Amino acid sequence: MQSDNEKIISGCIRNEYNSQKILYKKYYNVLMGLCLRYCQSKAEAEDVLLTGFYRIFRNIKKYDGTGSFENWIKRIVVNTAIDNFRKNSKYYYHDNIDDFIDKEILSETMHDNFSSNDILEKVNELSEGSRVVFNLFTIEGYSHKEIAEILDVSESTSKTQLRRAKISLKKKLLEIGTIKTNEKR
Amino acid sequence: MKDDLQHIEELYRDAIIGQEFEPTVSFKTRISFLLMYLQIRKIFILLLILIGITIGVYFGYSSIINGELHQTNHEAIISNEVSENIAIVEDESNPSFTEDLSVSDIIEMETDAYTVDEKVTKEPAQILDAYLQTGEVSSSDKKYDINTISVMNSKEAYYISVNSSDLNLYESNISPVDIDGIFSKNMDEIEPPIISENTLKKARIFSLSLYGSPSITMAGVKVENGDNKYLNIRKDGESPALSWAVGGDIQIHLKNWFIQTGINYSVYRNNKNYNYNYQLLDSANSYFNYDTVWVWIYDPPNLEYPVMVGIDTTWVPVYKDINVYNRGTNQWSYLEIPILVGYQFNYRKFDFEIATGISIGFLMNYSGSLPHFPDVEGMDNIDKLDNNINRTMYNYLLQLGMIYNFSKKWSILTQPYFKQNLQSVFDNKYPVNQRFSAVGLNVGLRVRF
Repeated sequence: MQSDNEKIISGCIRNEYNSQKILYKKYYNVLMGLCLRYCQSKAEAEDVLLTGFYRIFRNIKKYDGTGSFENWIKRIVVNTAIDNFRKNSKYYYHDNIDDFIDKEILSETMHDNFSSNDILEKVNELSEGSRVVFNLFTIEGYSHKEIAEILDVSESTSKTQLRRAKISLKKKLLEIGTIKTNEKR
Repeated sequence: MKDDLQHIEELYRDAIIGQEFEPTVSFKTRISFLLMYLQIRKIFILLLILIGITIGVYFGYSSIINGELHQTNHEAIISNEVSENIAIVEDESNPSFTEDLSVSDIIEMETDAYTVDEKVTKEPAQILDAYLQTGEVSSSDKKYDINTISVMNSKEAYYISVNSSDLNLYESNISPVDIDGIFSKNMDEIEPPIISENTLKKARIFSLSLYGSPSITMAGVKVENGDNKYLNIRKDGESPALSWAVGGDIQIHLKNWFIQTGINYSVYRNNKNYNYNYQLLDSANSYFNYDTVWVWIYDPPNLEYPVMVGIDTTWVPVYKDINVYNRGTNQWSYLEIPILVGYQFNYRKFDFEIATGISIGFLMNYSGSLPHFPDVEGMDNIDKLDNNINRTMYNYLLQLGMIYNFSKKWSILTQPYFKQNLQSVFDNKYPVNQRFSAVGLNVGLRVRF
């Protein structure tokens, strides 16, 4: 007997409107979250997601059933987001002077007095290059070699961007921690 | 330090779990259009190809038509008027003139001269007058190598040019008086517009119409398994409603036949005025009726409680009457692409046409509510049936047309039509079959090109 996902997929392969709509509703949340991690604004994320859905529906017949379907569509949307990033990379590749490594930050110990929203907010504040590398490495699980190929940069650039992202995040989170500690006092 | 950085990764992974996002209205609209486009993609591409082919054919055909039209005008002039002149020449017993002239010769000669005429700076009538008066063509006029005869009319001027050398006019024995007789006679008789409107109209193989249309639409409902209660409520409560459509058509004319396609936005509505009752179980007031109470008395030595009681009861459900009173309009909107074949004929300034075919509709919007199926307990918004609604609709179309041509290009059209859904607005999984039929009148403008 076919599972719900299989029914949706076979419906989408037959180009059935209802199946496509169910698929869109089912995966909107997870894919929108993914797009937002790679885009600067919600509007841009929606554009990417729309293109991603188009690619999913056009290529769904290529899904051979091996591996998780969710991972398959996420991979398509990540690729779409990366295409979008590369298209606009001339605007994104810049370094924030505040992000430069401060060795004192590395030695400081971080406290967990911040929320999930704080982290999300601070990740969004990273420079685009760092943010994309950070997401590809941390969430999508790409290796630096793969990231280098995807973004057409060197492996060392990918490593540098990741390190820069983490240190920058630590710095921002330390600031929050300090502020919150002071507020408590 | 490393631990901290590692910890950040973990915190971030945890933070993104369970994030909730609501699609914006703009995204919903765009994804709807995307899904719609995926449905019509093949048709859309086919239409683009057809439009491309049509444009190609149009330009190719136009260049041919322009050539033919040029030729046709001359043929019309020569055959209708000049042939009379030849007959007169024959009466004047001028064999040398008539033997050399056939209609095709004249066409050929005239065509040659037509191009030369543009270079003539002296009025052809002046050359002719000079010849009629003196009996010879002056040396200055001979340099044009042409003798042109003009047929004048009070409103418009049309002329026939005949190459003088081909006619061998100078050597002929036609007197100036003869020629004067030939042409002066025809000056009064020739009807001005030799290039007829029909000739021009035939060249216009395309027409584009823009129209708006009020219509009366009515929903026909059937229910599988003959659920009369639901059906009766629907039939009693629904009535035809005033609807509308707006759109544009393009016609490709092949003589009297034409093929028509286009796009229109059609709205199908039906009025509803449901007023019915149903009974709903009132669980708060339902109760058990104690019919019989049985008491068994035992007297075994080891039983502490020697009495057992059995109660025979009946559940008495209490129903409350619920009145449903719902009025308003249910509405379904489609983007439709008609494909029709038709026949057209002309009477004075009017064209009459009849066309039939199908249209493919793509659901754009719907709103309203229907009695709950199958138990008619209350009303359901049509949204609830979203997964059972057909997104595409095929319609049969019969269209009549009366077109008033107020110029060669522009016309006013009135087209009464009948349209019938060929399938239900719901899919096969939903046991209610609802098809709209519409009677409407397109009113609009048509331009030929």
